[in-house]
Amino acid sequence: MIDKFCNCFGPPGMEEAVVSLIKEALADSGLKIFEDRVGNLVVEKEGCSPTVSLNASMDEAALFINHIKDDGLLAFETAMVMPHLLVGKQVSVGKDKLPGVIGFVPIHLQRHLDMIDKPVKTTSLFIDIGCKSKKETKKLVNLGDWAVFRTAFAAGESVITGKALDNRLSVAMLVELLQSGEIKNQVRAVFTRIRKTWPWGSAAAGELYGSDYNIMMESAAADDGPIPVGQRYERRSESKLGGGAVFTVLDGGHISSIELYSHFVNQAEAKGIPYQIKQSNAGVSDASQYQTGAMGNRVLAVSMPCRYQNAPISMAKMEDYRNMKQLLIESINSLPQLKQSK
Amino acid sequence: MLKRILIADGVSGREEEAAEVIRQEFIPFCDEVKIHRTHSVIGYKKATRLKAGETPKSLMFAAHLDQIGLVITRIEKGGFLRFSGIGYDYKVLTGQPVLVMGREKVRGVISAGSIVTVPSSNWEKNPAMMDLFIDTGLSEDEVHQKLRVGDLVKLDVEPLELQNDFYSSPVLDDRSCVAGMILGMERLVDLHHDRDLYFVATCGEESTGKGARSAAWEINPDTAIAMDVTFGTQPGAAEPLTYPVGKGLTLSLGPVFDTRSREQMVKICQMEKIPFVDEPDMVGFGTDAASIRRTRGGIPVNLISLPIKSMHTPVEMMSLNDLKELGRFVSAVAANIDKSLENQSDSTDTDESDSLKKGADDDR
Repeated sequence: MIDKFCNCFGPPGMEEAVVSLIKEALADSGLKIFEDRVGNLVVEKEGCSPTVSLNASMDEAALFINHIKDDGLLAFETAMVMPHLLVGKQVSVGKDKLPGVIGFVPIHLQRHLDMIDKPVKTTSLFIDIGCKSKKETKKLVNLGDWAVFRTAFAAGESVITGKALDNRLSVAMLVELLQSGEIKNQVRAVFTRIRKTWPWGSAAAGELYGSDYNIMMESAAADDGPIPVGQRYERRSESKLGGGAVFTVLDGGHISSIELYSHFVNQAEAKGIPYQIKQSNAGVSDASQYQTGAMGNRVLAVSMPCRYQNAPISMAKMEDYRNMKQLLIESINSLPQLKQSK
Repeated sequence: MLKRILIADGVSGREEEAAEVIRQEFIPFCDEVKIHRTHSVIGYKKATRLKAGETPKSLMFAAHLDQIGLVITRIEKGGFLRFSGIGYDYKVLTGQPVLVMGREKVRGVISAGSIVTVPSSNWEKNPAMMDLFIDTGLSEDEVHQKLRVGDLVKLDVEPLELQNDFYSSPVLDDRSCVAGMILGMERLVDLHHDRDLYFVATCGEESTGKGARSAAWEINPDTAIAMDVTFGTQPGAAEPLTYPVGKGLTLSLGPVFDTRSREQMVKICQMEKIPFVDEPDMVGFGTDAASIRRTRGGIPVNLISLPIKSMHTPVEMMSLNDLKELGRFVSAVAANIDKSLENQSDSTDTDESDSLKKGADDDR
């Protein structure tokens, strides 16, 4: 099922395919499922208290078509995707996944055109689907359509690769948790739309669907590698592959609840489940929306370590997936009742 | 057929798999097919019409089967792989999925390391070639078990059919021309030709040109035609450096290329309505044509090219119509190279056309 989620076409604002897949997976579960007026998908599961809200965003890093050129090629912009990752890649345009490529001037010619060391800019890259004119392209693609990377999910012995691992691994995990009923508590699972451009989905969800405890299921950068030549120090990444679920202490938009945070860490220690603490405090996540939203304010971001998150091909490990899932089950099931404070 | 040829492994220096796949494709259309010791594939088709007592002249077509590739040069601490390669642009490599052909095929990603995650400061700079590495996600021990320095690396990208007749794939350079050669061979089944034909899928073009040189030396053809790709027009690269994709082939023009056989080919193209333009080439290096031209005291050679966009990237793009025309070119030239042809163009210079006719009978 993970492969189906990762291969789905689901850019910000157009996550219908992911929504269908979730509904299909939970069709026989007897759970109450509804889509609210901004498209967030909410699944309610009965159970014991305390109630827990679990949030996972459904969209992926993608390319927003903002102009169709006279020669039929598509100009685009991106959020979060570095330009030099786009050169020479295959993409799927629109929900029908029309094949396209982002070409580049051959190296033999770059010398003549003074291009060799110039930095690559998104504004000089275009998606080519094989149409010869603007008119032809307009029959197939609209402004505001998105292109996603055309990487197919692949599972090796321990390493998984594919596109959209951030955040479809969490989506798949949350669906599995809802299907299996291993969590005994009352759960409000919220699958939000639009996270990659800005957390619009959770901005709405944080207002409406918060509970006593709110857990954001996301991914954390685990990029690693040899020290770049000329750099003297080793740059630490936020997390490591194989290190287990990642807890965020604080980031640019929220501070995790000390109660939740210490409970999860204690559970991990007690049950011997690998975990790690996120090594950097940058970025703004869905957690900030829940913390400042109208209802909930106890938040904790629990993430899958993932390399190359907003890139054509991302990488993660199945052992982290299994460990994070187990940690969520153990920790949520053992959450203490909330002490009422006046 | 096209897809089978494109996905076979054949990095310069290790062309065995591609050579075998291509050999299989040659067999139905040739009298004999052999794999040369350099891994070039040579298909031989006897002249179908023999003048009594005369040995037929020979005509050789050459398209290279090897592809640019990468090789592992070092296994770093942490299991990351450093690599080196010929022909690639490092800007194109970041974020590409690869398969490392070690003791097992291991999936990996080409990365530029921390530059990928730095959200703001380094967006303005390209990664340096020496900062690139391949990440397999495996531990250092697992990497040492499965892979070694010297293992070849293939970009894990499949061919794509786009709108109209456009087709994108890695290795269009130069397997598209090998495919063009095969399409030509197919057409020749129903045609007569006065010359012995040699179809050579050469190896080593991207590195040393050894395949073309050794094949040309052995065969010693009377005339040779090299087939390669040329630069297609795309954003950032306009005329005169490039030629439009989908509007036909290019026939190289310059001191290195044999004028008599070229004039004959021009007439054949005009007669058969094969679209082409002249591609001026002052020096003449860069393809098998150069290797053939300086073998055996000099073999008369010409170069026909297929325009492709984004050469030497995994998303090279060509027009299938152009490919069809390339096949028509091969069969039309093989069938008509020694025929006496009227000058088919609208030239009103009758003196010129008379002398050309005489010239057409005497090719050497």
